[in-house]
This record gives sequence, C-alpha cells and structure tokens, in this order.
Amino acid sequence: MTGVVIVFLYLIAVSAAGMGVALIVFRGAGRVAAEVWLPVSFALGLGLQAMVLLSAMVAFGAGPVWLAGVAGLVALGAGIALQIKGDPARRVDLGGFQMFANPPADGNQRALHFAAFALIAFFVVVVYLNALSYPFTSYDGRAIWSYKAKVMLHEQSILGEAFTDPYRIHYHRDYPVLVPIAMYAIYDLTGGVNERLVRMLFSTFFLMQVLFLYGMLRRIGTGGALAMVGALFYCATPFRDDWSERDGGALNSGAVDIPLSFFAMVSVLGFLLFWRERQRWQYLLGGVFGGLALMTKSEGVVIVAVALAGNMAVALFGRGGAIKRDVALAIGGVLLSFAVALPWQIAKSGIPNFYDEDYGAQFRPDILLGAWQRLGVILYTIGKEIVFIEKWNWYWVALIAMVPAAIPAWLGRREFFLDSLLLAWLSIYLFVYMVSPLNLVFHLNTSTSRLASHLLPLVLVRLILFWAARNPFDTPARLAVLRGGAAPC
Amino acid sequence: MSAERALGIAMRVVDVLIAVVFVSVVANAANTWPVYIVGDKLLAYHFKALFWLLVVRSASVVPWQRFPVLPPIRIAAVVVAGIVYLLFLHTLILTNFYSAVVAVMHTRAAFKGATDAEIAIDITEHNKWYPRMSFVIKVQELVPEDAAIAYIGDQRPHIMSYLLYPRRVYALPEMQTTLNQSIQDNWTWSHLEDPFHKQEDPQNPRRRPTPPDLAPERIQAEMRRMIAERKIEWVLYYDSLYTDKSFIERVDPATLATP
Repeated sequence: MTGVVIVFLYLIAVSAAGMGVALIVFRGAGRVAAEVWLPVSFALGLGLQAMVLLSAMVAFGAGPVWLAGVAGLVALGAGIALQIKGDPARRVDLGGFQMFANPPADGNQRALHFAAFALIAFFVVVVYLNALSYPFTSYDGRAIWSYKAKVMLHEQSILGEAFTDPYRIHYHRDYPVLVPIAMYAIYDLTGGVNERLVRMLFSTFFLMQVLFLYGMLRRIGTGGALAMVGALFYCATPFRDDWSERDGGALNSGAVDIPLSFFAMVSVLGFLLFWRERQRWQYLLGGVFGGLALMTKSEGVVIVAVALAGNMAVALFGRGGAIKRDVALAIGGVLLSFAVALPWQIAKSGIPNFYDEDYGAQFRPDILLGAWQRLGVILYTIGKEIVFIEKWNWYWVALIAMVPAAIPAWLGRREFFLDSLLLAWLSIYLFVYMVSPLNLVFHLNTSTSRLASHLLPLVLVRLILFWAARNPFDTPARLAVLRGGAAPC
Repeated sequence: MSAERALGIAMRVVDVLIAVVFVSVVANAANTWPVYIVGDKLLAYHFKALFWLLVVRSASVVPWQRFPVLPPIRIAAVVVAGIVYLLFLHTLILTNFYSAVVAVMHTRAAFKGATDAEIAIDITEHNKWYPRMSFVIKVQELVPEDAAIAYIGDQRPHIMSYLLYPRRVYALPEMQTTLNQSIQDNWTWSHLEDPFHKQEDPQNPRRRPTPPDLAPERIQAEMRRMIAERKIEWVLYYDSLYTDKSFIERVDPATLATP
C-alpha cells in the first residue's frame, strides 16, 4: 500500500511540475477547464522530466531522479512567478472541472451526462485495479521498456554499454525513452523494480486521456451530454479492456501505445483548435505534444508528419487567406516538435542501431514499383482488424459508414483539418506496410491493433462531430445552429 | 400492437432471461467454488450476460416520453435490437463488471502476499514464464551481479537479459549472426522454422532467408576478442520449451574462445 501512495504522490508531483510549464503554455488563454489543464500538466511534467534527465545524461553522464524534482520545482516557481508578476491580462485562470460545475441544464441531458460519468468512473477504477492486479510482464513490456528503466535505475544513464555495446542483448535499444524514464523514476522512488506499481502510470495516462477528450469535445462544440458520451465511448472500447486487463493486451507493445495515443490526440486537437480559433496556446500544444510523441515511440515521426500534412492542407487549401503565413505556421509546428525532442535526438546519436527498421532506405524505385503487389494482403488484414467489433466496438465501421457524408463536408472545407489529417494518417500507415522491410505478414499481425489504437480517439472525435449536427437528444434551436453554422476547418 | 405493448413484452422477455441467467450463475458458481471462481470462463460469460440484461431492463424506467424526437415505436425497436446486440455479440462495454471482480480479487490477493502464480491464472505471457522463473532464480543466486554471461539459447534472450540484469548478458559472435538475422528481420525464432518465412521475398532484397556467411576464422577471432574484452566467465544454455535442459556453467575464457 505504501508503494501505491508513493506512486500517486509521484504522479501528483509530476503534474505539479508540469503545471508550471502549463501556466506558461496557457498564458493568454483566459479560463482553462481542469479537464484540459490537468492532463496537459501531467504530460508536460513527464516531458520536462525526460528532457532534463536526458540532457543530464548527455552532459554529465548521469541523470538522477532528484534532478527532475529540482527542475520541476524551478518550472513550478517560474509558472507561479509569471502568474503573479506578469501581465494580469494574460494571466491563466485555472478553472475547475466543468463536468460538475456546468452540467447540461436540460433534465434528460443532465441524467445522461451523469449516467455516462458514473460508468466512466467505474471504468477508470477498474483500470487502476487491473494495473495493481496484473504485473507488467508482456514480452515487449519487459524486453524493450522495462529493461531500459532497469538499466537507468542502476546506471542513471542510457549511454552505458548496456545501450551502446552491440553484443549486449538489448531489444530495440534505440527506441525512445520518455516512458522508460517515468518508469525509472517510479522504480527509484519505490525502492526497486515493481512490475505492478509501474502499471499505475499507464492507468493515469488513460484517465488523463479520457479527461482531455471530454474537455476538448465540450470546447469544439458538442454541447449537452454528448461530450460525456463521447468520453464514455472511448472508455468502452474493448481494446482498452484488453490492455488494462492482460499485460501485453491486444497491442503487443507493453501498453506504451497508450501514452503515444494520448500525445498524438492532444497534438492533433491542439492544431485543430488553432485553425479554428488562432490562439497561441493551441499552437503550442500541437507542437509540444508532437515532440512528446517523438520521445515516446518511433511512430511519433508519423504523428508529426500527419500533423504537418493536416496543417499544410489547411494552409494551402483551407481558404484562410494568408497562405504564406499559414504555411510558415504549419512548418513551424513541426520544427517545434523536433525542438522539444532534441535531447532525445542527441542522446540517441550515441546508441547503435543494427537492425532493419529503416523505412527511409525503402524509398527505392524497385521497391516502390513492386509495393502495389502487397496491397491486397494489407487491405485484407486491416479490414479484418477494423471490423472486429469485439475489439473496436462499432467505431471503425461507423467511420467507414460516415465517409459518403463526410466527402461533401471535406470538399466544402468543413472539418477540413481533421479529415485531411485522418486521410494522411491512414495513407502513411498503408504506405509503411507497402514498403516495410520486415516480414509483411508478421508486421501486419503484430502492429495493426496498435496503429488503430493511435487513431481511435480522433476517430471518436470525428464521429462525435458528425453526430453533433444530427443529435436526436439536442434541442431544435441548437441543432439549427450546428447544422447551419459549421465554420471552415 | 401498440408500441407500449411491444415494449412491455420485450421487458418480460428480458425478465425471464435474467432469471434463467441468474440461476445459471448460482449453479455455476457453486460448481466451481472454491477452486477459482473468477477464472471460470463460462461464469464470466454469465456475468456479462447478466449485467447486459440488467442494463437493458433498466431502460424501462427511463422516461422515454420526455425525448421529443423518439416515439415509443423507435424505443421498442432500440430495446429489441439492444437485447440481440448485447446477448449475442458481447462487445465488452460492460465486461468491466467481470473485470472489476477479477481485479478486486487479484489486488486483494496481491496485498495479502500471494505469489504471481497464485494470482495470475489467466495471464498468458506471465504463465509461460512462471515455470521458467525457478531456473532464472537459480542463475541469479549462482552468478554474481557484476559477472558477464554468454547466452546460447532460443528466442527468449531479451527477457533473460532483463531478468538477469545487472549481470551483463551477451550474444556470442557465432550466435550473433543468427541473432542478427532474427532481430534484423524482426522474426521470432519460431518463424525460422516456418517454411513460409524461409521463402525469398523479391520485393524486399534486404530480407535475408539465411544468415550472412562469415568466414570461421573471422568468427573465432572476433569471439576471442569479445570474450577477453568483456571478461566473460559464464555460459548460459537456455531452452524455454524444455527448461530442465537449460543450464549455466562457469568456464575458462580461454576454453570458451576455443572452437
């Protein structure tokens, strides 16, 4: 029980440190709901911890956990100082939980809102209990992620020979380390490797993702109970049950795709809001969280690439007017992501890579010309995956069913950013399979679930946006507004 | 038939189903208790069905008439479709009920000091490892933490490396060629036994069906250098399928370097 308390205190401390950074990021945003600032603070705290410890490892050869604590205190102090001494007009107003402060006024909507909340609370408790009851023992969980954390626990570095000696047995030694660094901190604070307690980290990511999804759905215009129902949909995805209940789960990745999915969601929704409202904090969220995705898994590169694709689509074809400025903003967002991930890029340069996951080398005419022959197998496997309703519920099927209605919306530049981005994302994953240097069947069978999980929160956002304009529970007056007043992007 | 009457009939059907499943749950629980009640799959499905049915039944207390755009006939249709959906597809929204029971029991057992083997009945990967852990523990007791180990074995080198850390676990050069093949092509070793995976892939010339052909003298020279540099004094032979055939031995580095 002491370990549980220590892990919770650690997670709170990380969020407090991240809040210092969040107060800087949200500057000028006015009132920010707790459903937004809390998840963002948690993620920024973990990002700060990774950046500081990686920088210390590169600069001094060791990154002790206390150093992250000091950096967290400095960040919190800086954020508070800016709140007190800075321009009062740009001060951040940290709001409470809107789900309690401003529930829907209508009786039926309110009942639906709180019923959905009760189920979400139940699911979250189950996820935490599962974390404590099943150890983190999947193959990748141990061989890739926990091994890195264990090495850091003993050596306080990723630049020792456990990482750099090619003869040392270390699976995917150059995979990003944001999550292993958080695991290392938990191991350090709880007195050693604990494969149960460490899973609370992933449960917290799940909780934060649900909170943020709710907060964003409220903000982007789905009124009434729909935001809570949308969050409930995410909770109720069976794959979520898989990863929380069984250690490797359906994702075969030691649950690290959950943080990646969270970072990707915040990055994309940050840019989505930015193209609608043009506020600085939204742009920062988009860029910074792209950087966190880069520091979490190799697929982070894809996430940054699709964010760029979505941003460029809006900049060039979104009828925004100032094309040059918007293109610069689109590219600047990507540069911000790489700047955030710079400590990892520097640290990674000292780690050898002697296995073939080099997709860049696949851009050769002979491979590209022959790649179409793989299309049948790829589409069949992906199709089989997404119609598997016992894993993904009806969400992917619903997305496909929505396509005929979404095409006119896309052509009319409504939800243009999100649709362009989802299209780019699916295209990139399809292309990755077409040129994959790995055995294709093996690659498909071990990765389609996790790739689908990366996209799922945004698929749900798209479905909710689609439903919002046709919500049978909404009032006629509000429906008229939603149907008639859809803004570009 | 009016919509209200259709809804009423649907709810009676649900009531009967609830009663049947409830009796079945009790009978099943009595049958399996005290072996491992929550590990029983049949019982799990009963739990799912029961919970779903209760959810559907609760639909009858919702004041549907307050929803202006949903006439009663649609409500009845939704309820009937819901029964079919929930009973036959088990799409897991509320398997959390079962999941929660399992989680509470496991957590409680863990806090009471139960071993992983006693708790993790249905964790496949963990179960696969538990019988092997006795061998790992023996190695941990025998080999000092600052020692270096050469690994010869099957497809679990990465887990062994993890479990034995901070002992340094190395792949021998002669094995490294094979290991590289496995890692570089991202195959598991079992794939190597699969004829399909041995086929050449004309679209992917980088995929090698056979290990690179290195000269024996080069391998030996590399091996001697590697062993001497890393002060390897232990060799671990590991077979995850037949753990009793696995062993670790202390060797003279000079002997180890000799082919």
